[in-house]
Amino acid sequence: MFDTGQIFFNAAVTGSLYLLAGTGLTLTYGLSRFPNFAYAEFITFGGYIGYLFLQRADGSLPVALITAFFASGILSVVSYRFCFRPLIDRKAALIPLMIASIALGYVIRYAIGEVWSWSALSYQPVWSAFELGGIRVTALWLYLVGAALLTGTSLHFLLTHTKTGKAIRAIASNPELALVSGINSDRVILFTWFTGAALAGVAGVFRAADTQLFPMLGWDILLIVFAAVILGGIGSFYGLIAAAFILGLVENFGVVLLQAVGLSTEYRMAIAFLVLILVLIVRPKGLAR
Amino acid sequence: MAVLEARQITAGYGDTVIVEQITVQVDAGQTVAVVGPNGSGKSTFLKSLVGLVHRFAGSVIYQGRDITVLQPWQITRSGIGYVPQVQNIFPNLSVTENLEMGAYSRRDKEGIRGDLNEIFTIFPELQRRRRTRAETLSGGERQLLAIGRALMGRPQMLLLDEPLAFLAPKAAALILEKLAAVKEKGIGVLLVEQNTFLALKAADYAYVLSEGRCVMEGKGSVLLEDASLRERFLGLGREV
Repeated sequence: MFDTGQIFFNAAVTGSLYLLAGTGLTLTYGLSRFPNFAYAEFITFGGYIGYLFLQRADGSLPVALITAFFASGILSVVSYRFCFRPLIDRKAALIPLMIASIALGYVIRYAIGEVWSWSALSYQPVWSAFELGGIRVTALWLYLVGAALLTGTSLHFLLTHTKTGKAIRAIASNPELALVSGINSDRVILFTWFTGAALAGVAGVFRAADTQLFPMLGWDILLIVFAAVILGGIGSFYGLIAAAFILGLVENFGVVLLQAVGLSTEYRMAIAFLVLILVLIVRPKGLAR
Repeated sequence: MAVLEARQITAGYGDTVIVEQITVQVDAGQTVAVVGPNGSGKSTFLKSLVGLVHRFAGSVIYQGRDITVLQPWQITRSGIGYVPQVQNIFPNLSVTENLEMGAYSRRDKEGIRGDLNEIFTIFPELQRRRRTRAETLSGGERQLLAIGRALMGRPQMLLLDEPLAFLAPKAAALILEKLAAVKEKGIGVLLVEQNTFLALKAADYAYVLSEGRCVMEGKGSVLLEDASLRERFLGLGREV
């Protein structure tokens, strides 16, 4: 009754989106210690930047992805430099920082609505489905899974084999000791804010290509992305990889189950969050700890 | 010649002054101890030298250069290694990665590898565990790792905040033995220590803090014999 191969592929597609969208959230939490709700808009902004290239049927997806990568990264760096950094310097606690991120998110979201449109837009290129080894795929989904694989491997390399990556882990592990080890933490934090949000921007392009483009795009998936981040253990990139795929699996199995018992597939998020609660009862700090 | 001079340092947290007008000098290859009862401001003084707490007044001169206004990471890069009393390792990083972080600002890959091997030679306890996460180390091993991390920056001056605290006598003896080896390399050591007896024995020169002020200074061996000091500040009694 289950097409297991298809479900696993769909789970990889869903999980890839969560991984791209959540990487920055979890890495910057590790360094700056507050949940940044403006990530919703870093995702959305990427989607709209992608629209600049994909409003024509012959638009190039790679060009859209790369431009969205840099655009969302820069938006994040600017928001850190001019909004969050001044607050952190004045010793703002977690809640004010979190509220500031929600506020900033609103500002960006409404600016996007004004600049582009409040009604939904669609990318023009069509990604038609085809069979690949018995599994129904689209080029878009393959790109998405490929982007997530590339992100996973390059971030693993970054975090374990480069000085900057080790410094990211060092600052997350003991910020004061990082400073007195000669690490210019500010630069490493800016780099992380850039890279994380850049990946969120890429996620935005994929999400918009797969569904529609509207100013609430990022906000709509932020909660489930947060769920993946928390399930993985907030701050842990490797936990997020596992959690994103698990949530993808739960959602896609859920869809099949719901269809089998004649319920609306709208309930799939409820199933995903139910699993999240159950896992957190057993492992309150997430999978990684 | 003085490697490090702290001149008239007044420092504290927020608006609260913890230490007032402390002047300390460390010469090359010299071990200097700052001792005093709990809460006398020893740790705060040490932190103020590397820019981790606010300085209201005074200046820090390192190798003749005024480093008072530098950021903590810049102070470290100029050649001062600092080992905090607690949270002095990166728990999630491996032993080797901890040491690499100490050499963060260095570009000489060969030199770093050489120093890493040297640290492992001085501290064979760490070599055996170089791939393990630092959080699994024992108290003594952590202290060695913390000192090793600071040495990886090739400092000319080492600031140690209570390196002997929480250590069993055997581990404390080991740390002191390793510090003697550090001193041999001509590195100046400024040691803040609760264990006054051991600190004064190890130090060439010492300062006694009480309630945020320097109340006495002199050669370690001389202070150790000072009866009034022993009674008033060190709680050692008249008999040894």
